[in-house]
Amino acid sequence: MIVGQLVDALQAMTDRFGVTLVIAEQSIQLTQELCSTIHVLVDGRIVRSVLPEEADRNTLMDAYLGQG
Amino acid sequence: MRCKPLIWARDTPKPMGDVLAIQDLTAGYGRALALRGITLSVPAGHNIGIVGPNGAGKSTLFKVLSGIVPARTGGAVFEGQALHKMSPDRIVRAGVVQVPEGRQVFPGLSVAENLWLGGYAAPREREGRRAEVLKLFPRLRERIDQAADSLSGGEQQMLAIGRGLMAAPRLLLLDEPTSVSLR
Repeated sequence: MIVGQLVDALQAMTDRFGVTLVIAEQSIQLTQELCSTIHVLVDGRIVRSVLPEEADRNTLMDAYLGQG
Repeated sequence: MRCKPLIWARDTPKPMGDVLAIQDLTAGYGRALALRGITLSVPAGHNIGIVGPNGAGKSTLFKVLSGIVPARTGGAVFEGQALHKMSPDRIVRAGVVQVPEGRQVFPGLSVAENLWLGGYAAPREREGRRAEVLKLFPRLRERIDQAADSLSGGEQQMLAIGRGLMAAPRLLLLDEPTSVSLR
């Protein structure tokens, strides 16, 4: 199962079961596909909250480095 | 900063209100603080992502929401219920279920047995739920009598998610579902 298949399965799951997801990830791909808001957590703090289309590697790197 | 929810490219309108509200949540281990004043909400009908590097506090956040690690300050309210005052089994029965990092299926048990155990909190719904889970993950139906540790990484991830669904959750906490090989 690759990430795309996991996305499809989770989307089908939310549609079929009406379940809400909170997804913790190190990479942004899965959350970009499935989430309406992405919170960036660094050292126990939410340092940035972005829409999926705003979340790219540079945004994350800036947030991780305290420049977000 | 709190973002307004994205308007999904879907036709169905999203319901209003928050299913989960986390307010000024602090937690840790011994003298070490792992969460420092987390405040966020999960609007009904919207999934949210928590992205961060190793050690950022993602798993600790889920452990607090699951009642495994106590909150030091603040708390979390799910559909009007204060999760930080509830035991882990009550939290599961309330509809909040965690799929832990690394799958953590019961290795010596079959797929069927793993799913069965996942339904302990919703015994009346077991049969119907199992049918739905196997519809969602047909690969598990093909492997239903196999030991969980004989499955591929991706199949074990399906099983871990399926086991979580067996508890009839309304809020599912997925801890790094892509952190292990999905093949």
